[in-house]
Amino acid sequence: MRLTRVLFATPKLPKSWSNFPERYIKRSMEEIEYKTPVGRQYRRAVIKRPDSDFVYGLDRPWTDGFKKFNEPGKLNRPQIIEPVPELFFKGDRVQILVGKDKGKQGIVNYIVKERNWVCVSGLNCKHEISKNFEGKKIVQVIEQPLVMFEQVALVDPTDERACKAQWRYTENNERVRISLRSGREIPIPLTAEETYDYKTRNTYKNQPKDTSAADLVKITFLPKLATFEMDIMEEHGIKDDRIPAEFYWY
Amino acid sequence: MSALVRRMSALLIQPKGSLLRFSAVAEKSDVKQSGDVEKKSDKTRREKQNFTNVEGLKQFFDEDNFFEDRVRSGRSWNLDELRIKSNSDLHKLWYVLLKEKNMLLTLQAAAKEAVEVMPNEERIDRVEISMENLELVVRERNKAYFDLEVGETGEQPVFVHTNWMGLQTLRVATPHYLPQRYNKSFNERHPLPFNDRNQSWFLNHYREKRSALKRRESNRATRHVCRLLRRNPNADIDALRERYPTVDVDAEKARLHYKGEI
Repeated sequence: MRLTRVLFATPKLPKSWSNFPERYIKRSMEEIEYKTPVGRQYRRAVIKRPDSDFVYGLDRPWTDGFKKFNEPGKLNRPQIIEPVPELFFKGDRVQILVGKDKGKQGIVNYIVKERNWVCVSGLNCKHEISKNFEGKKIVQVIEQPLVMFEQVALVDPTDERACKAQWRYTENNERVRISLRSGREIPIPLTAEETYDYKTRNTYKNQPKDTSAADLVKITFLPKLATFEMDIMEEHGIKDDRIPAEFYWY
Repeated sequence: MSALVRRMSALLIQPKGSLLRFSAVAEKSDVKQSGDVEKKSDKTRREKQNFTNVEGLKQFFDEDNFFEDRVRSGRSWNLDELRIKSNSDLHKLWYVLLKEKNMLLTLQAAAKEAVEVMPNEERIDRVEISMENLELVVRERNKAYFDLEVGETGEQPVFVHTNWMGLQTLRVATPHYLPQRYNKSFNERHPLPFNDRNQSWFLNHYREKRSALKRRESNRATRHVCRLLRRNPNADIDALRERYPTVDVDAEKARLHYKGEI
């Protein structure tokens, strides 16, 4: 593959990978039709597309692909999505249970929690023929999503066969993922920790505006019989002996 | 990005007309040429012209990342991290965050004007979350002091208020110098419920509609659970119970099994 093709390819962004605040994701995906201006004379009201109207695909909610998938005015039927425990992580070894790649094992490279979807690198692919800018035919290989538990299963690290998994607690009160067949722990891969900002938490490089780890942990709080305002006034030498007038709350 | 950068740098180098100026040399010489005794208006004009706090104004702009498309930033402050900091530290941190927020909002406005994408807009949310958490910690400390010393929370009380239509709403109380029974203007603005036939008719119908909505919602949830169970009879029962607390999942499963659907 040409290097330029690789550079042009848009990277897939699992929600956890982006490291965005939940509030930002919600704000970027909402479609507001009308919102009253800010002011006391207006009753606060927002006319917007309800959250249940959005259908999640392989694109993440803050991208243009998601907006194209959920065009304004497009009617979407509510999806039947089974609530499942969070057992699949990016970088897990899984076995495919259905389709032409049945029985093959691969590594998870993308997860859509909203649909219980998992993409396995290089497996369960669709071949799409399209033309490039020169008019030449090119074949795109696109990984198709698989439904968790129904179409893919986790692999037991002891015998490398598909297994059922569950969350359990150790004696030290740590939550671990175990295989139900052998009872062995299935460790969570390091790639699950990866985000837009770092590969692993320990290798995060401090940015100029970040607080250093040592400063973050330092305890400077001393209990004192004073409110916040009283303490700050004392520090700055502000004295206020005025007695506030009596008032009633209602 | 280039248009945005050009616009931002133009703002720094050439401020518009009579607003703010970084250097006032030419204007000063004009004043001297007139030769007259300085009037009050001239004096105030010169004070305006002598604005030289360029460094202060520059803090409204993200100078280090002018040409960057992506700006990396750390996460927001947690409650637990803020709880171990002293009052003066929190006071300082508040202004650090406020300055950062001002800078980001300036950048957002400039990007909007230039029809460009602002690099990493989620930074605004991160700063806002930190500020909200900081405010919560300060309120916690003040509440502890008032509980100990006065026996009250020291916060604005919130109580259930019956409005003129007979509907119960939450109202945040406000301080008043007069007791409520003597405060005529307040009582005019907040009339008592009618308690008459029309109102009881309205309330009956309102409650009926509300309960119908509630019933419909719970029925919808039950139907959804049944649909899920028909699709996959071996679905995780614990996860279903947790997700749909209003639905009796076991009873629905037994019913479907008895009907022979699963």
